[in-house]
Amino acid sequence: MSETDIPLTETVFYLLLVLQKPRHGYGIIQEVESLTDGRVVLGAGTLYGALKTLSGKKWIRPLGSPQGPRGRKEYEITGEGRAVLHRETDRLRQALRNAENMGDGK
Amino acid sequence: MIRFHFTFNKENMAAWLDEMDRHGYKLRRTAAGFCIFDPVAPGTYDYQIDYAGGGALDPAYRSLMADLGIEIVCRWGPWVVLRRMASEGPFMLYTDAASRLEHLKKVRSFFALMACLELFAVTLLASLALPDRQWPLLVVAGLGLAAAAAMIARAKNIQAEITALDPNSSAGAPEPLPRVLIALGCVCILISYVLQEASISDAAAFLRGAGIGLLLVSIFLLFRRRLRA
Repeated sequence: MSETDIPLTETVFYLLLVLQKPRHGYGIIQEVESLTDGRVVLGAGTLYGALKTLSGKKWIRPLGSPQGPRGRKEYEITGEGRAVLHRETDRLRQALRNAENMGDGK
Repeated sequence: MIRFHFTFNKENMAAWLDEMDRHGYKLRRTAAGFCIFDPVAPGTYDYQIDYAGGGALDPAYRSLMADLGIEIVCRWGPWVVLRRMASEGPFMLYTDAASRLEHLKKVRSFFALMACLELFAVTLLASLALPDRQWPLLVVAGLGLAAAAAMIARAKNIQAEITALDPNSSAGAPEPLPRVLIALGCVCILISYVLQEASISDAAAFLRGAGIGLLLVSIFLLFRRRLRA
């Protein structure tokens, strides 16, 4: 983990969040869409790039051989990915706490 | 059905394929600007075109697209033509600023590299064809020059899109120096031929020397980088 890893982009944050359970591409998009009430919809190119980058950083890993009839490849978060997600969640919690204490702009 | 559609612009290509879909034609394959279509119910598909670079597609890319119900129709140069059933809702490839930016940078870099190679090929052709006035080769060189200009224009347009998305990135992404030197060297040599034709020999010789010098420096830079790598 390096200094520039945090804060995460929203795409990376939600990817790590939903990959705490093994999921394939379509499952990731659906879960992120439902968690954000349809606000964050991942395009195929965005998802492919993010999966590749995060696999390269070893924050997530592909699981074994492709599963299922459509050759679905599943991914899962790694220990390092969990550490990053944890640090980011701490940062977000602090931001939220500060916003609640000092007024959130309303 | 076969149609000819020549463009360097993938948005333009995708829009045209969507229009063909509305008229009831789906793409089978494409080669050198010619597209072969099969009949299909109008409005069946949405098309998108992605940048895939050279070489074979990553198996992980293929499997993800299959997983998302996206059909890989065919390759089109460095691009890959994709389509999805229109009934599945809006079809978008890049949905956040970071990935859109990265995608645009790859596309821009591709056009810049192609323009540079194109200029080099044109210079070579002109050097071969000019002394004996081989007109067919000169015509090809002229077409190549026009293509290089179109690619530079495309790269500039994409740079404008990049700057609009991220105002700080224009300063951060200069062209690789050898590429710029090769392009400059080629332009010098090409201009020297024009001057030669106009019988301005001194300036022509000077420019040709400068051009060859620039090419040699860029070859040296490329060679040194290869040695380091």
